[in-house]
Amino acid sequence: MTDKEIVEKIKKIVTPYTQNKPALENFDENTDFINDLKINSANLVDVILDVEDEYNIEIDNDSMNEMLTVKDAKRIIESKLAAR
Amino acid sequence: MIGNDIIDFTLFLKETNWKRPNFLNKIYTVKEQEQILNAPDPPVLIAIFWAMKEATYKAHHRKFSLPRKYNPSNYECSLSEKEVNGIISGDIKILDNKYAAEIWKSETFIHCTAKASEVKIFQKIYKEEVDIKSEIITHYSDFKPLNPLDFSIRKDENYIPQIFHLEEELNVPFSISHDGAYSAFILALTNS
Repeated sequence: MTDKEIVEKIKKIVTPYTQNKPALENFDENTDFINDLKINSANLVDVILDVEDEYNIEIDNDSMNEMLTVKDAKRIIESKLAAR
Repeated sequence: MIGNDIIDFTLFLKETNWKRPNFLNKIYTVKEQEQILNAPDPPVLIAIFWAMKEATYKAHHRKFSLPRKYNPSNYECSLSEKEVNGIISGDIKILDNKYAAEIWKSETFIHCTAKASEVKIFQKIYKEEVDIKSEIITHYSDFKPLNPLDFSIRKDENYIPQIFHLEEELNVPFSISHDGAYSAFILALTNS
């Protein structure tokens, strides 16, 4: 799976939880879930659960601690996929 | 140090799918999950614990100038049995730190304050669209008293909001929260 595919998939996952929809137009690796997309912190759990379901991986607490930007999510997904 | 959190409970009930597999164990400790599942009305306890964790996160990160981290299950909440004048009290542990919480629960919102040590606070809850930063500045400059136009609120490098007077960062303990129709702030009443 390419970087671009993962970023696109993350975008699709976060879209329903994004309160600042215009920020989706500039969506890239540097997009911040809370500061840019204004996803509330309770919905961030839904993002994490959706990522787990989508890739069939488990995001442990240490990884979850760092899930703040698209780049973080991509790095965590790649490392969990590689460890499978 | 202090922190707060407000939850629009009507919105919370509508948007939180807490029965989703693994939802509870991503956020809550094993002990909290047991209490939630045994509660007569689980969503109330889910929201109260959540507000306690958020309010404490804000106090803790402000106290130690910590970078952001998404670690709700590291905050261990406990509640006292009794409710006094509509206020529920509790405490929260994070690593070796302990914070005292006061929770105000109505039918439509839950507001929690967390304190690292006893300090008097001014708090205000709004149920309408409001420019919360200018509300805080108005109240803070009234206490001093100084010209409100000389104040601003900006986030620091850890995304923690700070009050500035002219260009000087004041390290005033305060906290802001928004959710749905509600906004709230708390401000420590100190002489500094």
